[in-house]
Parts: sequence; structure tokens; C-alpha cells
Amino acid sequence: MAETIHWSHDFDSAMKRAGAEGKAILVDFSAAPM
Amino acid sequence: MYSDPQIGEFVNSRFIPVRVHAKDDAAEFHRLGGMFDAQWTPTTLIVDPPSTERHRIEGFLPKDDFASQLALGFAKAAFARGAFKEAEPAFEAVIQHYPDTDAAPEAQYWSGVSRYKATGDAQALGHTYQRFQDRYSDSTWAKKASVWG
Repeated sequence: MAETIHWSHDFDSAMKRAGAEGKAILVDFSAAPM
Repeated sequence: MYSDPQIGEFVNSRFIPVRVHAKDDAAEFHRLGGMFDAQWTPTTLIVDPPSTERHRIEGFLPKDDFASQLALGFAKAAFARGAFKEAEPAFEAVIQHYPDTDAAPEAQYWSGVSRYKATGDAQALGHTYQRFQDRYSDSTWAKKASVWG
């Protein structure tokens, strides 16, 4: 199955990027097979 | 769910997406799960920097319901930032694209509040009351809007 989301696995870096870009973070807590 | 192209485009264009896997990223799952009180999977949070939660989706939802919750969360984040002129069309988009979901009546309520907050015009609330007479009249959100009639 194609994965279309550009997932980050580094929350702290993503948070800094979100702040710089004026966006919110979407955090997906998952147990599904990766 | 995230493999759906429309959901993927929505997430990539509006959010910085972070995945925390319960087993593969166990230490991070424990750290962030504690930070945000996430005890179950799937849990999806919309968070403004540095760590302000704006919306929470817990448990599985079918595609349209999940997409509607993402769109609702995006609108709620704009509202919470005080960006009421951005929030109103974002709430209206929920109603337009996902009219048969639980998110739609909630979006209708907050759309009216957004317009009121943006303009100071109390007619926005009266108009929202009227909308609930026409649609979603059985919803909890119609009860909340009933004081505006």
C-alpha cells in the first residue's frame, strides 16, 4: 500500500519546523505495521 | 487510512506530520504519550508549537469520518490562534465536504462563532441558530446554538 504522508519520526525537529512554517503538528500514535 | 491520496494531500499541505510507533519507537512513544496523555492507539493529535493540543482523534474511524476530523482539527487550530477569518471557511469546508459526519454540526456551530468573533456582529449567531433549524437539528450542537434563537 502506497504511503503518501511525509512522516517525520523526530518530534522535536518537527516542532521547530512547525513553528518556523506557522503550521500545526499532526502526531500519529500508531501500533499498525510500518 | 493515510494511504488515501486526498487525506495524504490534506495532511502534507496543512500539517507537519509525525508518527510515533508504539513498538518501533517505544521510548519516544512513552515520552510523548506521557506528554500528551496518549494511552491508546490509534490516537491522532493536532498540536500547535510548542505543545498545545488543539484536537484529538482516538480510535479507528472510517475514511470520511477520519478526514472530517482532520479538517475540523485544522479549523479548530486556526480558531484557537485567533485567526477567525481563516477559521470560518475552514469550518465551512468541513460541512461542504463531509456533510454526513459527526464533525459537520460541530463545524457549523464553530463557523458561526468564528464569524461573530471576526466581525462582532451578533447576527452571525442568530444566522447559525437558523441553520440548525434546517440541518443537524437533532445534534448536541443544535442544543448549544439554541440560546441564539
